[in-house]
Amino acid sequence: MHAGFESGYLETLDITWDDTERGCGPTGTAIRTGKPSKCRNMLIDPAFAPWREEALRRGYASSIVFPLMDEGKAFGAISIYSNEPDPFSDNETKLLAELADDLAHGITALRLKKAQALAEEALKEERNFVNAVLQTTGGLIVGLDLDGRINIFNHACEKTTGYTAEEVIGRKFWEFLLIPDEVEQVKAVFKGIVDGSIPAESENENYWVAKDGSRHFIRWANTALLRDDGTLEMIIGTGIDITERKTMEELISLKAVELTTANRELDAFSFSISHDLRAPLHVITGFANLLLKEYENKLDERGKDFIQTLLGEVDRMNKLIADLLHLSRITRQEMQRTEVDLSAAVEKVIKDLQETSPDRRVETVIHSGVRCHADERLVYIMLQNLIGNAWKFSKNRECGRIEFGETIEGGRRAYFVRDNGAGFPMESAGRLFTPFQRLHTQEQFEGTGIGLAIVKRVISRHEGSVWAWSEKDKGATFYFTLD
Amino acid sequence: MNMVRRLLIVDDEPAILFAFSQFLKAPAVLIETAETADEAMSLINRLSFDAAIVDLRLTGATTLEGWDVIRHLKGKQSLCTILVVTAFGGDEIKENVRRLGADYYFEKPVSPEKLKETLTLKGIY
Repeated sequence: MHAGFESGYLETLDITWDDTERGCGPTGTAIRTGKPSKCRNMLIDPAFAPWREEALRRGYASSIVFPLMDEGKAFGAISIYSNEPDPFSDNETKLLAELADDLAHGITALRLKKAQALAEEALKEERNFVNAVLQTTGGLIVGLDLDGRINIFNHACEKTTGYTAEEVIGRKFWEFLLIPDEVEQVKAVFKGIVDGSIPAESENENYWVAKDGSRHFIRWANTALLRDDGTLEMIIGTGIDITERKTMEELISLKAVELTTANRELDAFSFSISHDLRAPLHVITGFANLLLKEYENKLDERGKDFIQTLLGEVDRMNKLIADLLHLSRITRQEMQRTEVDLSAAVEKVIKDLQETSPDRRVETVIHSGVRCHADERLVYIMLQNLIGNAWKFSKNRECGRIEFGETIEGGRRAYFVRDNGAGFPMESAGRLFTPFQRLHTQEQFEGTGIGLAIVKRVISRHEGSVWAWSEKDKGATFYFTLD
Repeated sequence: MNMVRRLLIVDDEPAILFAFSQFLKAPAVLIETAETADEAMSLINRLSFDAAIVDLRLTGATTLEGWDVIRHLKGKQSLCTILVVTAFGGDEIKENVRRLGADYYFEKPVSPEKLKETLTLKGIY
């Protein structure tokens, strides 16, 4: 700020208040020392050398500088220039010094006031923000003084308990918010936080009883508000109502126990089914064979045929038991998804089939590099059944044909197994995957009716779907998805 | 070689013991049968066997005393060929049977003919 004849002088000044040449002029000296400083005659004062030329060019001859002081520190200076050397008398100097002091006071007061207004504005904004958060958060926030009296009770607390803040402020929380069983324990935690034996930054869970008597299970995170001197001012608890979660957790753990028990029972059941149904088959097999051996000369061909039929049925029953066990195991076995090379799995299944019936002529088309993310063991069992079916139902063709590949069906990635076998009427498609449902007689195609039920279960466990398309005598295509 | 072979059959069902011993007996094959693990073990203590057909569950309860018979047999007569015949399926049991030192594993029902073929392989017949 300046007044009077200046003509660009201030721009040229480059003054500092350090102890260098440019810091030892009148202004620098006044600021540095906190005392008025004079240049009585610019023409001859050696300390004024850096500014002499510019000052003389403008007709200045002398100057006097008063520091502007606040609490003993200069925060500025007022410089007065004159076109005469040494123009200020002692009285004038004193008067000007007082003027500078008044000015300094005035500036300081103005600055302080502005800073206070800013701080108040910031505080107000912060308070509004905190209040907005406090009242809109879904979390319960309660503030307690060191006697346990409520001094903050936010909107979520009101909503959960049915009490208004006015009703509860000033009341000790344990006198009406806790269930009787937990009063002592919660009080102990509170007192522990107050006396410092429990860290303030702690967590606990307890019930709150609402005005209507309903109970809410709340998980609390506590913290302490400290005064400047480090003593405890109040305790803030932030809570979430986890009643529903707790109920669900209890239900889930109950169900888990039930499920484990049921699984164990089912295991035991399957185990004894397996044993108790197979043991009699073993006896029948033993005696049928004994009959064939010891009565060979007494039995005619028809009699021997009957025994063979008997043994064939034993075999079928045995397969049925094995399939049933398989089905139950597939339902319960734990899933482990990994990257599975479906093409390789299909090739292996077909190789095994070819080995068991080397006389069959089957042409195979396997798309290479088909992969999926699935449980390898379950998927293999599924493919054994699906490809096994394709193999079985194309047995009447001179040359069977089995194709495996990947396609897009209804916007989803699907895999398919196609054969040129007997097929099935589409109106029966709904029954395909039901256990024990067979669309052909034993004479046409042997089987237990479990295979496609196994396929369906494996796919269901992968949250995929399976469906089929066919025309009688024109083969069948089974589509499935795995993820 | 005109040696008499001795075969042990262990199963808790008398009908099975009857049918299988009838089927498997031969002039040069003597058959002993046992319905319980105790019976089987006392036979093993007294006689030397070339082969044994052992069921795993012998009391009708859930315990598998067949394991004890196999262990006892392995300890006393390590050269005896052991065929396990069980109505319990499953890879776990199959693996345990192998680990215990049994030579063959069959799931019921199995034909005596099939067992005879296996025993023939081992030179019993």
